[in-house]
Amino acid sequence: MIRLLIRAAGAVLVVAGAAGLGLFFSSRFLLRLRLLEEFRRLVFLLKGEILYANSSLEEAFSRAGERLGGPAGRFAGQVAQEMGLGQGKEFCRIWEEKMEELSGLPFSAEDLRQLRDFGSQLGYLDRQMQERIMLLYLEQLELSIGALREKRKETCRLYTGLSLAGGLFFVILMC
Amino acid sequence: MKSQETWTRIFGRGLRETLEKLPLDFRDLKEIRVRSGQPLYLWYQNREYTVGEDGRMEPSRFPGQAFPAEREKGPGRERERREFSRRIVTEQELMETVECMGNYSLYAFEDEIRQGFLTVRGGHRIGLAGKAVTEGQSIKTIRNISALNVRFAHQVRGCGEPVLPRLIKEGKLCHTLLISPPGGGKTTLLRDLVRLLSDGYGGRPGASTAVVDERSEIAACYQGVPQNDLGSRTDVLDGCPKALGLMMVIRTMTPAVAAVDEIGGREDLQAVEYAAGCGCSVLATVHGSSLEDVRRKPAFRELLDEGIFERFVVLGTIEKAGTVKAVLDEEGNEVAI
Repeated sequence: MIRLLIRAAGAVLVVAGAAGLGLFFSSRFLLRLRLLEEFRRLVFLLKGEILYANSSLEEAFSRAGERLGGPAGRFAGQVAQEMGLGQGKEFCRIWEEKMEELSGLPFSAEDLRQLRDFGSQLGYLDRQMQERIMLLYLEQLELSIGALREKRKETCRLYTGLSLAGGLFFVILMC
Repeated sequence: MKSQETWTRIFGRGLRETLEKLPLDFRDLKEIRVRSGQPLYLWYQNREYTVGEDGRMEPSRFPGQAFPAEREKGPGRERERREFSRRIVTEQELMETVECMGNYSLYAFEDEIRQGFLTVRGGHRIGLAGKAVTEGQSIKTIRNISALNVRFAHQVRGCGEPVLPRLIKEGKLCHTLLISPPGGGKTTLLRDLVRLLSDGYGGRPGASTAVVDERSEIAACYQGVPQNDLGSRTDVLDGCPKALGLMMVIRTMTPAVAAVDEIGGREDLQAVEYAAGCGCSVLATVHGSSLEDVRRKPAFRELLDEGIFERFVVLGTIEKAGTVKAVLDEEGNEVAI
């Protein structure tokens, strides 16, 4: 009897763990979508600061960071802070360093590559060029966000469903 | 004294390390010349120096010129001379420095770069040379920057005190033109005159003063806030073209004194004429070595013939920056206190 109870408890735990894993993956998926949306808002704010207020990158990042909050806002604030230190580093190096701090977030390798390319071209040449760089990045973000939104429901369902099914399958195997 | 660490922040890391090693007093530092693939030169204590790799400075010598007598003496001088290795600026260092000077935002200096310079935090002016990209008759931008001339702005408090009493007639400040060659100290003098007029001096009350600072050299505004002391009654219109700015401040801020730096174009002169006709005193500067020199410029001749300016302050050369050679009235006669 006790053995049966233990088995049942184990099975429940395995299924719950699998469901949790599914929820974890789907929340990572949703978090990635939210992050990309936040970064899109950051670029909109930067665009306004740079094109209409002719702010320097430091000012633009600092103001955008203050307004935005969240991981994107913190990232912008840290970039502005590092620039403000005036250590004589090149901007792309500051960008790279601050990007390392995003490594814990659920960005895909492609998201990070696009963000890296965006930073490596900022500040260079004239306002027209800045506008093009930002528009290009916004376009890339739109595509990524669009694709994620499109498959949001099915992906979340797939993560939870598959995890649950995997858990149940494991329970059956063990039994 | 401004700390070494502060002013060197406008340079990239490589050059900054070298400059921080030098035994310099910022107050005496006038200019630094940075050229790609060439030695680093400083204009310090009214003399040109070449910077060494090890943080030493040697007075610059020209072909055939001996070391200055006082430097020839002393044991080991020969060896020291041989070992002096000049600090050569690399292209990478120059690019790093341009990026730092532009605060990573060269696009924000688009209009200034088109005119061949940048004004950085502290009001220091960076002259640029490189490949000019033209569109029709005008310069679109400067690319492949290969040389920089960093001219340091210094606020010399009190330098206007001996001059100011000579600019007053019947209790009112005369319309005044400060004349000097580039680097002669006219912006420094203008800055101090503005401060004195704004705060009041020698028992005279302060007056509302407006400064149109097109190149951010007078007030050295950073994010709209003046970094130099221009007095408590001074309003600064930063980064605005002089002609537009003068008209604007007169209409909106009703100043008793309006100051502008380096007038030159016809629109500038028309704006000065307008300002002078509005009842406020005008303080302006112009490039030139003498009153005659300025008179030779066609646009100025008309303005001077009209007798708008009542005082001319002629300053010294780059070797003796800030030295007042003469204060003249509208007829060219020396003005005594």
